[in-house]
Amino acid sequence: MSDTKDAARPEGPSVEKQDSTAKSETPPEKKAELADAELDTVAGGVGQASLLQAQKNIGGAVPGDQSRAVVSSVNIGGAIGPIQDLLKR
Amino acid sequence: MLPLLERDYVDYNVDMVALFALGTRPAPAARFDAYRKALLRLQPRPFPFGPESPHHLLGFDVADLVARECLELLFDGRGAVEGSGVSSDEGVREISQLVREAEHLLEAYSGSAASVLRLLIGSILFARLPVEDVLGSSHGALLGTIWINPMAGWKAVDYAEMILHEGVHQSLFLDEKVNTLFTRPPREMETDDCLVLSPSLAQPRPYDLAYHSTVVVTALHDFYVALGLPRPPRVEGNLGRLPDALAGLRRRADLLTDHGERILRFLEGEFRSLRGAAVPDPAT
Repeated sequence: MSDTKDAARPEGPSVEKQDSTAKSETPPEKKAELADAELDTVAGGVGQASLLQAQKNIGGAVPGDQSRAVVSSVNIGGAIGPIQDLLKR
Repeated sequence: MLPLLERDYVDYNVDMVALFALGTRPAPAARFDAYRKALLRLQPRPFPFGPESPHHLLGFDVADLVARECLELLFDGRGAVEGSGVSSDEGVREISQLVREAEHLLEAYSGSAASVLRLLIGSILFARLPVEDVLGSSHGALLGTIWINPMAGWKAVDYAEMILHEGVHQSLFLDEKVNTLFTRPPREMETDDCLVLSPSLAQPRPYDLAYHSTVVVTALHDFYVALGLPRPPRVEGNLGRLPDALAGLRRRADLLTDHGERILRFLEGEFRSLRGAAVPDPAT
């Protein structure tokens, strides 16, 4: 079972591996791009991280399964017949 | 409308993930494909994005190992994946048709939001979990894929609402990765002093989950107001809990980064304007 699952996984670094790779192997042209990008983009008056900061943030993001599931309950989902009936009981 | 549903805003976030994972910022026409490739590199498990499908892949076949693994994560221990697939051709056709109609509704709501949803949601897994209180989910470790638990009697607007709902979660998870919203990891926001009323579940939840819920509820209200549709009763109930939820989030704003706090401020402003918006009476 686990072999099958592993076989289905894509090749590529995990977040942690990618993090260390990004820190040690940033190509010069990318460094220049990052250094040149201290301007935030803005939408709705909410600023975003600069390119440089965004790359740091992604590298330090909570790894994979330590993140959460957000389950959408019936309370959010809207008025749906059978569930409405249940709630009325 | 929420910046999280603004195309320019989300494009930037997607580009940052692609730049980090692939080393180059994608051209606009290649953005979806670059995001898919970046997620395949960054996430701990594959997902049922089809390279042949630039937008929605309707994954009904839970016998597929990738879809199965995704569903196990998205069910979050609430039930078995076995037997949950929408197996009949008739069921698949019906859902496909309703999803197409839902996409038209989302386009009518906002062209920007609709394109954001197409960009962020590569796969919708429709699977029926025999529980009455769960309509779907997203997971922070599985960007690009959502699960929807289709209910009997759903109309196109219900599918549109669910796609929007999960899309907002997706955009928030992405925003957390790129811009960061919280100052503490999820597990540290589960303690009693970090609990805040969730407007959707009507009970105290960990700070980040209450934040997610508040953003989603705000977006859903905007959706119904913009389309001039009556808000379903429970959505209306969620609106009634928004003031307490916003106050709770504000009380512990120390758990937010500057960016997270700016989003909260935006929500507070949206709530003030939503409260004054004229909407049709659901009873009429």
